[in-house]
Amino acid sequence: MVSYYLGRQANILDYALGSLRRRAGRNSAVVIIFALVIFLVSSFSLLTTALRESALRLLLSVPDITIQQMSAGRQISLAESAVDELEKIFGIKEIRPRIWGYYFDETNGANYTVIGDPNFSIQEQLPGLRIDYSSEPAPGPSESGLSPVLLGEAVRNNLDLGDRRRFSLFRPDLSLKSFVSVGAFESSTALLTADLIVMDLAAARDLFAIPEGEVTDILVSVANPLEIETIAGKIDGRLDGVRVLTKERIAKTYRVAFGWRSGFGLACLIGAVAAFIILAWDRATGLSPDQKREVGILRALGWQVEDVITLRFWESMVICALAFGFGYVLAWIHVLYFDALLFRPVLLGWSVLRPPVSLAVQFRLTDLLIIFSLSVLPYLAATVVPAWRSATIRPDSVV
Amino acid sequence: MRPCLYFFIVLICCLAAQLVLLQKAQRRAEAAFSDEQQMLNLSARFGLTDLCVATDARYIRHLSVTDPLAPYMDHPGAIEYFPTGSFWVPVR
Repeated sequence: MVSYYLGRQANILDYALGSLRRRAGRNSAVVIIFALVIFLVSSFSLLTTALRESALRLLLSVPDITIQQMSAGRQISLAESAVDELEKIFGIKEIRPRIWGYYFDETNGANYTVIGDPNFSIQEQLPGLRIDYSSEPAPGPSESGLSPVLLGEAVRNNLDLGDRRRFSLFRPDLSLKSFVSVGAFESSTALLTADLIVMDLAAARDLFAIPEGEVTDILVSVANPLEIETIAGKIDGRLDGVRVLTKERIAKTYRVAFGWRSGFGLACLIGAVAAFIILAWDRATGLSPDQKREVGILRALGWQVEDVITLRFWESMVICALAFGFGYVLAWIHVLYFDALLFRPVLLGWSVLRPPVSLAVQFRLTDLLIIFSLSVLPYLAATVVPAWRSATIRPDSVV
Repeated sequence: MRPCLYFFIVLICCLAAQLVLLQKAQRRAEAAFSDEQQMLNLSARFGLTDLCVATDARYIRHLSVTDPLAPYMDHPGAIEYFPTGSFWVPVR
């Protein structure tokens, strides 16, 4: 019984393939367009999933609480005296005031992220961190005007330092502040460090001309992770006009940061929907006289309505399967081997520093099912009515 | 050979290619694991909160600790002009 059923389906599939081959040009065009749509949607899905997963894995060790001062909806400097108020809160393990910001390099249009770290020390070898400390000695007392810094790989390349270690950046009053590079972050950590210039707090204060007693933000570590939200609430109550960002809030940001609601995601979806509308319209607007004649002959030869619908189903299935197979494999090749080359101009935008985008792409069954249900199911659904209409044609009206 | 066999051979080739790609992705993920441990240390040491994917707009570079995103955020009537802004969903 089973072999009879499979044999019958195989026969109909053979006939469907022959039927598709007779209109090879048109059907090939449908497969190619359909595969391109699936390629685009799948590439976007794989890329955003990889970015989201990387962010969620890498940002597990972000500070428990980040405190910023807000004024008129913007972040401004925060009084360092807030630390005294924070020390009164029970359960806080560590408080780190920090100065950080962006330095726009007018010579080449790049933006660097400057971080002034209160615990920065050139003697510290930072165990476990991949920093290639320069073999040359750190600046001595006679070079007290030089501030030691650690550079991200893209910054080092962009400054075109070569073998040199010293460079200067402009303060707001256009006077020069000199730095000496005492190390560089390895390229394997570029996803976090590519645009970083890390220095001590005083050097960052000097570079940005931030007055004494002010910092950009304060990082707080909490002894018991279960108390983060409670302590964040207490901080919010004690300090006026601050924004308190918790670790969970940062993770939530990255959980939703890449998605179909973004402009580019919507563009992909609209493209896919437009393609389906065209395909559905093409299918639904009726059969060609040749197709009608073919169905009429089949019906006259004894094919039942059910057989003709099965034939149409297999035709649609072949187109869907080929398009999905090619489109999905091409999307993986695009993201895995070419690092999402087609999306990179949008992803990088006008960035002058171009961190390497080498992502660990991961297979997610849910993503596959979403792409399948967004692409294949609508196509199959769009072919149901035309299949029924073609199957119910009276043989004597067309033959 | 029957036409349907050709069809199934093509599908099996696609499946095999997909399996090879998954294996490659798995190897890359394993290689990236040790780098991730180092990046976790760096994130903890320097308080790094965001991925360095694009460096043009401050609200993209440091998405999670930036000003709250709003229409016309730079000045009244300003439109979003950074291309990267179209890739990311605004923070809420």
